[in-house]
Amino acid sequence: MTDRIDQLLASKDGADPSLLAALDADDLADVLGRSLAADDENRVRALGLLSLIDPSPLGALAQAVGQVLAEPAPDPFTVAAALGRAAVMGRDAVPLAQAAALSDEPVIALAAWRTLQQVALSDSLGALAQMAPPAGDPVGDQAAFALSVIAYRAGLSGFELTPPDDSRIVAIPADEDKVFFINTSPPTEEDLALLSRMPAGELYMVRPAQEGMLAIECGEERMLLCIDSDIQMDMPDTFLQGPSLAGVVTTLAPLGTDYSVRYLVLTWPDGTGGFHVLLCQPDGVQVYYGHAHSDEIAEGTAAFGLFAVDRPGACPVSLTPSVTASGVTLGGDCLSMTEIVTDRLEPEPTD
Amino acid sequence: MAVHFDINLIVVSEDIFTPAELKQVSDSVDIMKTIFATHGPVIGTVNRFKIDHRAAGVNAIIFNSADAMALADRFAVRSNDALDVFVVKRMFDPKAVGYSPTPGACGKNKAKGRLRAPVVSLNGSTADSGNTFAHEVGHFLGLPHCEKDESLCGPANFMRAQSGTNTGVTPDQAVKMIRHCQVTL
Ligand SMILES: [Zn+2]
Repeated sequence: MTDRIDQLLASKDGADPSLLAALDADDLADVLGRSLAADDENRVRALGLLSLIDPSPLGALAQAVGQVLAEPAPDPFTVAAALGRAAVMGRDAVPLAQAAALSDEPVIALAAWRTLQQVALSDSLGALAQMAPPAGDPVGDQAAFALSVIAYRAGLSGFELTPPDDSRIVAIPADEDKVFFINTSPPTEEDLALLSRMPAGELYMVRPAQEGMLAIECGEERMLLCIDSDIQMDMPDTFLQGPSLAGVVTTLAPLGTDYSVRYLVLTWPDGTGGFHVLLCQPDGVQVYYGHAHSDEIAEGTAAFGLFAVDRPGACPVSLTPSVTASGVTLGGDCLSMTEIVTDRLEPEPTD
Repeated sequence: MAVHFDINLIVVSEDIFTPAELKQVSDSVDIMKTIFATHGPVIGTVNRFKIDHRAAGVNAIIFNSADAMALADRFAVRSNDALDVFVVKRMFDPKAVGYSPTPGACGKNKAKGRLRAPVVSLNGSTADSGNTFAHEVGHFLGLPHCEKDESLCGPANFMRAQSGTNTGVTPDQAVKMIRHCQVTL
């Protein structure tokens, strides 16, 4: 056991970057040993640290993930952790996750579908569609959403999401005074540095265009709107040609140490010269929706209203994004309510 | 009643916790209570709640802080004003075993655009997770890491960035925490 790994395991909600930068072969051996030891109480975290130290497809992470998946009666959460961390291996994680997606253990299947959602490409879509369980339970719903995300990433039709109807849109009431402003600015050097440390798999294979990237301050949450550079260069026309995983919105961790993906930005043509924009959480929950009608698209610019979708914890916003080949700006009122308008779900009291 | 705050302990996917893991939850709560009992504010009532795995679905799997936000955004105990604390079996973030805002906001329906409540995990030993529970609640009540303000801390303090199994707490930290809106004087 090395001092540096002990210090990382003692960290609660952020890792000292200088510690991570100093890790050497002894540290790698320590963390690999812990990852391979079925009875190590820090095994899940060790797998995570391996993904930071040696994520290469033939490296230590791949070795540990392979062993966890081959164990006869592993703890489901350990397998799920291994599958989750495997996303940093990019498309090399697909065969592992594809096999695990068939697991009878919901935790394992959920983690496998989520990893596939992060990294799978069009070449896997047919096989995955064949094996996906029906929607209607958590695994089936996650699988259906994963198939859509993979298809959108590939620009393929056939897996379009259903846009929320008007009854599911929640807006800020007229004369509402419990509101605050949503502010935007260019990203800082620190934002870009944190983003650059995210493996491609954690960004759902989106390659953010630095030019036009938007930092969004919504109350006390700091987010980055990251549009894929290939998609941005032809916006908004790209959105009329087929489905796209246009980008992601990342959120800053409470202590400012990392970004992680809060929303996936999914777009698809409406069939009448306009397009839909849906921001979904990685769990598939629809959070914000906009519809750019054909008359809102002209001269290389699309401007449309973006609204909150009703759900437990829904909070209305008033935003008018404007989309061009230079990126996205947020116009309109730029307001959010200070309170939710739909109750969150109540947990059950334990007997 | 002494200066105190109450907690709603919400065990996520409780139906797939083993008996040993449920014991780790209870023992971690005891460690947390001991830490806060040293100088106050003490933990008053701990109300236990559960979310079944089928209801929690993928929200039981916390890969990163965005997932913690999604969990705390979807569920809340609305029948009282106690501090909601979510417990998950494992976190898959290599850098974190818990998350909390510093400080957290009071009021269950506030939408301040950030993580609403502490989310903690059972990663590590019981002594580790006992510290994790207390450490994240400490953040919620306004405590920074010792490395941000050494004047608040002493040896083996529960708010070190690398606090491991630490249980140390100081009167200065207690003074800071009792000013939080979640605390009843
Ligand atoms: Zn902390």
